[in-house]
Amino acid sequence: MLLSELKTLYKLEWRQFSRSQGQWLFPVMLFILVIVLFTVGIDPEAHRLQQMAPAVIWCAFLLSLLLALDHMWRDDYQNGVLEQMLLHSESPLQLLLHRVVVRWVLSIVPLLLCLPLAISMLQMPMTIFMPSLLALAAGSFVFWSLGSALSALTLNDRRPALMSLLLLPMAVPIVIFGSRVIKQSAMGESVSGLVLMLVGLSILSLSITPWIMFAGMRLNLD
Amino acid sequence: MKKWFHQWVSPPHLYERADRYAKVFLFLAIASILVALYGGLVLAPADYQQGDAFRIIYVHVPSAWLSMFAYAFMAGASFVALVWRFSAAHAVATVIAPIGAVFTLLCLLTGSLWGKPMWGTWWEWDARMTSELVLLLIYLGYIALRLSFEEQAKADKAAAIFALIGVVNLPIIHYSVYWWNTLHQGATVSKIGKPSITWDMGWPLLLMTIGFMLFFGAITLMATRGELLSRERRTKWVKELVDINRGVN
Repeated sequence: MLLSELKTLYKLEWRQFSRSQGQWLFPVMLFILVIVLFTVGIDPEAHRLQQMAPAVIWCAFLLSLLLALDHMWRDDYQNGVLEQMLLHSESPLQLLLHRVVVRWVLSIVPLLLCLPLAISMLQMPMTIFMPSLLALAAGSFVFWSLGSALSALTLNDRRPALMSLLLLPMAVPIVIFGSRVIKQSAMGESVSGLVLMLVGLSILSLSITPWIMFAGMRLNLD
Repeated sequence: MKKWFHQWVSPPHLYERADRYAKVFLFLAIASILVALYGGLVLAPADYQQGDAFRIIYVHVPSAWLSMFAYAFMAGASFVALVWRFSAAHAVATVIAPIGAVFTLLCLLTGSLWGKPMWGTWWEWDARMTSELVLLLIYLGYIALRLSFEEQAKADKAAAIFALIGVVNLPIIHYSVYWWNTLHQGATVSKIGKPSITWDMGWPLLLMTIGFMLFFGAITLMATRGELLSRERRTKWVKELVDINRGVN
C-alpha cells in the first residue's frame, strides 16, 4: 500500500517538476547572480576572490535553496492537495519525508551542476570540487529539512519572508563547517572530519524534522 | 500536592498568586540590585588593567546570563505547555520572549560600550558576542512567528515547537561559533587579559545576578497577569474581576 502511495508521489513530483515551465531554473540563476554581485563588489583579483570564495559559494547556495523552499508546501497547501495527501495516507510521516528528499534532490542537482562554473568564476582550484560537492550536499540537507519543517509551521502566513528569518539563524553552523571544507580543501588539507560533521548534522535533522513537519501541518490544516 | 499544583496552573489562581509573588520578587530585586550597585561602583577596587571601565561588567554579565536563562525558561514553559496542555504555561512563554530579547539586546549594547575603550571597536567577532546576536535573532523570530497567527491556540503551538527547535539548535550554534572563532582569531579573546575575578569584585556580580533573576521573575509574573487577562477575557472569572473593580471605583 505504502509502496503504491510512494510510486504515485514520485510520479506526481516528476510531473510537477517537468511541467514547471523552467521554474527549477530560478534558483540556479540566483546562485550565479549572487556570485556575480559579490564579485563586482570588490576588485576581482585572484587572491581576494579565493579568500571570499567559501563564504560566497555557501551564501549563494543557501539563498538559492531558500527560493526553492518557498514552493515546498505552499502551492499544495493552498489548493488542498496537501490535506488530501495526509488524509488518505497510511503513514503520512513517511510520505512527507519522501517528498522532502525528492524535492531536495531535484533542487540541489541543478545547483551542483553549476558548481564547477562557480569554482572557476571564483578562481579556485578544481581539486576542491569533490569535497565541496559532498559538503554542499550534506549541509544543504540540514538546511532543506529544517526549512521544510519551518515552512510547515508557517504555512498559514502568506509572507514568505518569515520562514527565511526563522531559518537563517539556524544556518550558522552549516556555513561555518561548510565554508571551512572549501577553504581547507583548497589548501590541500584533509576535510573528512568536517564533512562527517555535516553528515552527522543531516542525520540529526533527518530524525527530528519529520515530526516537526507533521505537527506544523496538523496545526495549520485544522 | 495536587491542590498545590492546581493553584499554579489554573489561570485565576495563577493570576492571584502572581501578584503576591511579583511584589515580593520586585522588592527583593530592588534591594539586592541597590546593594550590588553600591558594592560594584563604590566598594570594589578599580581593575588594574581596565580602571573603572570594568564596572560595566555588573550590568553586562548578569544580562548575558539572564538572556540564556530566559530562553531556557521559555523553552521549559513551552515544553510543559505542549506536553501537559497547560494554557497558563503558554502565557508565560509568550511574555518571556520580549523580556529575554531585551536582556539579550542589553547584553549586546553594554558589550559594545565596553568593547570600544577596551578593544578599540564597537563590534568584535568574538564567539560569545556572535552567538548572543544569533540568540537575539531567534528571540525576534519567535515573536514574529507568534504574531503571524490570528488564532491564539495555533500561535501557541507553533511558537512552542519553534522554541524547542531552538533548544536543539542553540548549543550547536554556540559550539560551532566557538570553534570557528578560536580557529580564526584567538588573539582578540586574550586581549581582554581576563584575570580570574577577586572576591571584592565578585560578590557584587553574584548579588547583581541574583537581583536580575528576581527582577526577571517579577516582571515575568506581572506580564503573565496581563497576558492571562487578555487571553481569558471571555471567561467568567475575568468578568467578575472587572465587575468588582467597577464597583470599587
